[in-house]
Amino acid sequence: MASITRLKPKAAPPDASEAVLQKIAVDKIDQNEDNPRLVFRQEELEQLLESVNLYGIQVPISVYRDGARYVLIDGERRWRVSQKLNLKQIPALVQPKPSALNNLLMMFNIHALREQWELLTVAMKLPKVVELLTAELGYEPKEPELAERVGIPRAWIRRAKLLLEMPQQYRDMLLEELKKPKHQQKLSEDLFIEMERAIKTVQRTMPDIVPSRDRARRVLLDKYRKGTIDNLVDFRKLAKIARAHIVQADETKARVAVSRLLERNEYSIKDAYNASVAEAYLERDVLTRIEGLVDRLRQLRPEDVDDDVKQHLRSLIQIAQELLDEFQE
Amino acid sequence: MTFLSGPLRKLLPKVKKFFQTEWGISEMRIVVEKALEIDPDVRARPTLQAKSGDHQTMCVEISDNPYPPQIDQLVVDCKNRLLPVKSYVAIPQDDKGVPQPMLKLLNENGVGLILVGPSCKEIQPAMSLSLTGVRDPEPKSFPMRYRQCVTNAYKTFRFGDPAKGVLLIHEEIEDLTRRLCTKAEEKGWWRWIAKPPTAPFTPPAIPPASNPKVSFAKIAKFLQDQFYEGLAKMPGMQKVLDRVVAIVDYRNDGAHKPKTPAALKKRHAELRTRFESGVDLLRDLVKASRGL
Repeated sequence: MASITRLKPKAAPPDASEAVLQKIAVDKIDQNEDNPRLVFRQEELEQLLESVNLYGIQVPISVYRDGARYVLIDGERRWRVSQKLNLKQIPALVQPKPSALNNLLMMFNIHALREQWELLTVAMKLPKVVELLTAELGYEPKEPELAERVGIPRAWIRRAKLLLEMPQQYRDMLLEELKKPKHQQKLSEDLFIEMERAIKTVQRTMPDIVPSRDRARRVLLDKYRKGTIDNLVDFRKLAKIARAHIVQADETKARVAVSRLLERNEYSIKDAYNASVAEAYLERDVLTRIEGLVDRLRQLRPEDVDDDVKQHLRSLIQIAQELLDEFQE
Repeated sequence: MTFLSGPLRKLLPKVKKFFQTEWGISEMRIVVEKALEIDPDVRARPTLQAKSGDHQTMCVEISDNPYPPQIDQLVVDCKNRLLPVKSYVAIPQDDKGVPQPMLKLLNENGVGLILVGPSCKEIQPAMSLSLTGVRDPEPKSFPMRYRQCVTNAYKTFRFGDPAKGVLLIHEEIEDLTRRLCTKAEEKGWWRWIAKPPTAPFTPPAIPPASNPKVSFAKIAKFLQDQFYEGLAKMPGMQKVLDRVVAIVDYRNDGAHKPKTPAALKKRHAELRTRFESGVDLLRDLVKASRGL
């Protein structure tokens, strides 16, 4: 409980019950510069436009007053569509002006509840949230604290941080991609996150082979675009190669496989995995399953064993015996 | 901030350049996402708009979609308010091309299409939205021999020169009127024959209708005064001839260039009315003359 008390903001956010519903002039509203949402897909905007054109604005936007004008808190798409349709007025909940931190947190929380934003856009605003929270709390908030305040799960924050570690050019590339209609997107946030995780692991365990993350990114992205890497899950296999020592696999083979992956055009992660650690992981997998089965069998009571189970156990003994005989020869 | 997403925003400079090269409108005169200057109450803010030298408002909507939903509102409003606005959709060029039903829809609504690749290419011209509301003349309601002329006139009105479209209908009316005059002369369908005056009189000189140098106005007026529908067994022809005389005055004034946007708006309203009333008149004239 103590930690929860500590999390409460010093400056309380404006009370939503103080909001007043008004019709305000569309041209008197300004975009909120702190809005973490950067991606507005044309297709979705046009769908909304069609709906507003037919039925009008059904849900008021939220704004706060700033002098003679208003600043958006929630409803940028509705506002843009209203402008496009040359509507003179729009229904809006006018709230008291929030602090800079509350302004940001409110937007995060509104959207975390209602719809999922692109993670990259969340990531790009996180440093500012951290900075403002640090100023308010007097210390840098940890992940759980940050997650609670912005209203998104911890796992998202971790993934967002991975995206933030990418150089700017890759973030721009991803942002441009996210602006395309979903069916036209070739690169996704998941791709960059999986790739970044894998590269990080490889660089940590084999720093001499991957001295520069940037080169590895370039090569892997290129292979993904060409289809040499055809599955996002393959990047997890790359991390497994880097952790060859965990399954007592030949580390030299693993290093050679990673080098080839970064040098040869047609060499895929699957090729590298099969040539280095596939057998070791298979062996570990079989062992883990046998151990699990043995544990389970030991827990069986005689009354639990019906004819079907007995039949399977006999087949198991036979297969195990044949394998042992084969190995002895 | 614009309504356009990132990739579409990149098309803006190319389309602006198109305004310059094709329509001679300088970049300074191009307005981005503002209410229509000609009528600020129209429920649309096109991506780009500018006024051309002939007082038309040129609008371009940039979109991925060859027929974006916002175009509908613009078309309807401009049609209803008789606004001289030419509207285009500019889409990025890709390998897929434009689906035929989309092109048909654009065509029906008089909206042009521009493909934006390395440069801009107009693949369908736009017509002034104030003219698009013109009623379909329904060629099937005419006898076979008139259908081609009516269809040609309609196509010319919509996709070529509207004044010329009106003229084509009027030419057909003139031709039929002249033929009626020749036939009346041949058959003696005249008022002085049906109801000869009691006092001695000299029958009026019948204008030689087959001579193109004799003015249409003279022939129409003569028919209005002297044609007798009872003898010709053409009931209702008298009233139709009154309407024929009424078109004579403005038949040839299509070439006057409007000098202000208001004059252009008025001119378009007149052209629409003249075309529609011309088509109705031709239909009634054909019907009354019983396949002359």
